[in-house]
Amino acid sequence: MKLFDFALSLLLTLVFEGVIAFAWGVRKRDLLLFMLINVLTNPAAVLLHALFPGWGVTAVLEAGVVLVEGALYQQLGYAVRRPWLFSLCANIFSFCMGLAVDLVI
Amino acid sequence: MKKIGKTLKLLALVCLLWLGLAPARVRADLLVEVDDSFWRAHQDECAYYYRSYTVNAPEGYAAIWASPLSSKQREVLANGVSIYSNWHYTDDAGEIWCAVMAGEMNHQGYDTIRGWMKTSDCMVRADHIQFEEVYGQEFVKYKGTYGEALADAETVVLWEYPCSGEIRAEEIDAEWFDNWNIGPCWQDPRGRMWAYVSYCYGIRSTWICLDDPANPYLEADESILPQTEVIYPAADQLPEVKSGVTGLMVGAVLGVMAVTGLLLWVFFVKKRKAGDENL
Repeated sequence: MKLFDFALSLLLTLVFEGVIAFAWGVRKRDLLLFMLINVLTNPAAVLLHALFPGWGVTAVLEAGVVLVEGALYQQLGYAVRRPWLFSLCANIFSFCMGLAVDLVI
Repeated sequence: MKKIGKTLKLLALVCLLWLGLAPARVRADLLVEVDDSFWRAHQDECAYYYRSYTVNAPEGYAAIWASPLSSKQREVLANGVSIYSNWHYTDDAGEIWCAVMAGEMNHQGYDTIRGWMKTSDCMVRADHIQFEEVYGQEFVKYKGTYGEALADAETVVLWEYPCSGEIRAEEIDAEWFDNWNIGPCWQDPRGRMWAYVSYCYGIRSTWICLDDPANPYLEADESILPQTEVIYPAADQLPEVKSGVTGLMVGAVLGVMAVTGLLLWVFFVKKRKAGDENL
């Protein structure tokens, strides 16, 4: 595993979840919040997955990410509608797209 | 609300499309593909041939890696453990890696592998490839016809290599063989002529003893391919499997989280509190 893998994972996450964020109407300061929250959670999730591989751990990690991000959107977001639902949808989408990228590459 | 509903519908559609259209890889030959991201990315550089190995590293153990380019280990095997591989990859440094087969297929019909191992950490089991490497210069074209050689045989035995003692298949119909699908030949120390069979009923790379084609009791001669490699003892204790994560990575991730947490606090928590106080 290399630092490049973390950077690539974060970049792809920001792109895929960014699509959902934009469609959700997340704008201005909330977009900055969206980016900071993903920078906070994504590298940690990738690191923990590398240390503890397995589908069970992945499920727990992804659930944890959804909860942490949902809580941050709710507490710190200015105009993020349905923050918990947004967190769930964005993470499901980026997870599915990540698997698709892995299949193709 | 309408916008969220539309977004949800779009998301659901994308996910359903992804689940339903997961591509099944089809190739226009009989090779079974491998369920491995490295193999998919480098399949044109991977050579398909079967070999059986015994783990034999100087340290007493060897690792199965996630890929030839990865620092992540999946397993550590002690010397003496047998593995087999259908796919081989040569890296830029000339190291040959073998895909360690798991011996099962996934639900999509792809072979699953346990990971990749350096063949330099293994001892190859004597096989037709090694036989050709050692005796290839002695191969000759058969001077008679194979029809004459197999005229009295109804069935033949296919061997791993001449004098191996290892049968690959028995009771193969002798009518399969004619002049175009067997050869070259090799004469063993006892004067018996053997012929190479590249393909027969789905079985690749075998040998027939032309002088005794139906006999399944031909004894092995270990002097044909003697074991010459040093056999290292197995380690008493195997080390932990390396995750590929270094202290630098952990430090970098924690550093990024700390800085991000600080930015969140400065730009969102502190400002929100200041805003609340002003109200």
